[in-house]
Amino acid sequence: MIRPISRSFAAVLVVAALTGTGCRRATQALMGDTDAAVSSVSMTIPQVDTQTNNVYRIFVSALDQAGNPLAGLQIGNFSILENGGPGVPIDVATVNEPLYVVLVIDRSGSMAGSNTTAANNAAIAVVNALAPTDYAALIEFDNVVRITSGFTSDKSAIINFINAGQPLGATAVYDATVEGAKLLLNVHGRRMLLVLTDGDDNSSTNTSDDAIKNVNDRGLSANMVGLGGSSGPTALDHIASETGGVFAQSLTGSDLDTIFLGILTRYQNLMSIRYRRRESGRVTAYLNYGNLTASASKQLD
Amino acid sequence: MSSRFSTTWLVFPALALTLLLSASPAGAVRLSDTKSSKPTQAGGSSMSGEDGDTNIRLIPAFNFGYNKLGKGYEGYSDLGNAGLDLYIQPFRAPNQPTKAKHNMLFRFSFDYFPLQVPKQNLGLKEDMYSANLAFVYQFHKLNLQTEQAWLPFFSLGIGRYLDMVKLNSAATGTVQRNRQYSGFNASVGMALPWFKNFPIRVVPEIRYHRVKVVDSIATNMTYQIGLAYWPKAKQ
Repeated sequence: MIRPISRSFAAVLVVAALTGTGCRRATQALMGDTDAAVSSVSMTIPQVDTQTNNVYRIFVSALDQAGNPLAGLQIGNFSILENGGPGVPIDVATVNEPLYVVLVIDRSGSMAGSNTTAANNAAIAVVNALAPTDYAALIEFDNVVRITSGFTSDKSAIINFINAGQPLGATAVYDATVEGAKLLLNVHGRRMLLVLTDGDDNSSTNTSDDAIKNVNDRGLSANMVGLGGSSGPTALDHIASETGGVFAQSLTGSDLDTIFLGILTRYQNLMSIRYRRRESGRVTAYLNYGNLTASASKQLD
Repeated sequence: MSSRFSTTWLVFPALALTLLLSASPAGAVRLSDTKSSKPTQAGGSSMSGEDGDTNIRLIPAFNFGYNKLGKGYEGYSDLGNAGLDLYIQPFRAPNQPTKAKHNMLFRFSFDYFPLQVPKQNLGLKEDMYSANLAFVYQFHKLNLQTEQAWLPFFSLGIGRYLDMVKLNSAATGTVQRNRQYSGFNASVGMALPWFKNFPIRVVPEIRYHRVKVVDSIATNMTYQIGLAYWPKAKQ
C-alpha cells in the first residue's frame, strides 16, 4: 500500500526527471538576410587553423556571382561535415587579423620579356592593395628557390625587390611552393600563398604531391596561376584543387593583375568558422544562403 | 565511423555476466555453501539465515540531473541527463566476518546526455549515450542492518560513449553520424536511508565523465538524483 505522501513524492520525482532531461532548448537558426540580387554563390576554404586539439577554425570566402563577398552571414548560414559526418560549428566571425602574403614568382629563362613585366605588375598591384597592417614576402625561383624578401609591411621595399628580378634558368615550381608554405608556418593571421609560373616543373626535388602535402599540413591553400600557354594547367590545377586554392590561367598576361587581385579579394573578406572537431580527415563547409547553396572542402591531417 | 552500434557495446553485459558467475562459482546467482561460518561479531548484527549463503543483490535505479559540460564542449549549453543503473552486490556473505569486499558493488549504468549545441546552428542536434561499468565502494559494513543507514560511496568506472550528431540543412540534406569513444567515470554519492518503510533509497550523486574524442578530451559532470529500489539482502 503506497501512502499518499509517497505517491506525491514519486510524482514530483517523475516530473522533475521529465523536465530536467527533456528541456532541450530549441533555438532559431541565426541566418543573415539574403540579397535578392544574388543569383549564385561560391565558397572556398583558403585556410584552416588549429586552435586546440578539438577546435578548428576554418577560413571561408563566400562570394556572389560577381565575385563580391556576401554580407551579413551568420552561424546558421553554415554547416560543417567531417568525412561526411556532421561537425558542430561554434561561432562565425569576420576575420580582421593581419594578412600575410607570400608571392612566389617564376624567374626562369622563359619568363624573359613581357611575361616578367606582367608578373611584376601583377605582384606590385597585390602589394599596393594590401592594408598597412598586412605583410608581404617574395620568393623567386628558377631551378633554385630564393627567399628574396621575408615578411615586411614596407611596400616600397618589396616593390623594389620585385622589379629587380631577373629571368634565368629552369623551373622548380614544386620546390618553390613547398618553400612558400614553410615561410607561412610561423605567422598567425590570414595566410595567402600565390604561385605564378609560365612553364611545367622540370627541376624540383619535390613532387606535386609533396607540394600538396606541405601546403595541407600547414592548413594552407595554394593559389596557382599559369602564365602563357605552356604552363601545365593540369598540374597547377591539381595542386590548387587538392589544397582548396584557386587555379587560374592568363594566356597573355594582360589580365594577370586582375587575377591576382581577385585572389587577394578572397583573403580580404574572409569569415572564420570555429567548429568542434569530432573526426580527422577531410572537412567540408556548406553555405546555406536562402535557396542557394555552395560548398568547399579541404583535406586535413 | 559506423552509424550502427558496434559489438563493443556487448562487452559490458558480458563482463557483468562474467563477474556474476565468478562471484557464484556454480554459475548461479544464489548458491549454498557447505562450509559453516561463524556468527558475525561486527556491530551486533542480527542477520541470520543459511550459513554460508552467497547472495547477489540486484539494485535497480534510475537517475536524472543537471549535466554541466566541461572541457571539449566550447559553446555548448548545459542541460540535464537521465540514466538507468543496476547495482550488483555479489559479495554478500551473511554471518561471515566483515571484510572490505563486503562493501563492494558493481554498477551498470546507461546514461543519456542530451546536448545543446552552440545556439543558432541550423538543423543540428547532438546526443550522447553511454554504457558504463563501475566499481562502487560504500563506506558501511553490509552485514549490519542497513535499512536506516546512510551509505556514502564512491565509484570508478570505464565505459563506451556514443556521440550521435544529426544535421539537416538545405545544403547537406539529412546527415547523421554516430561515433563511439572510450572514457572513464568517477563519482561520489550517498544512498539515503529507506524512504519511510519502503525499500527505496534516494541517491544524490556527482558523476564525472572523461571521454577521449579524436585527439582531445571531453569532460562533463552530472549533479544527479537517483531513486533506487534497494531491497534487503536475501538471507
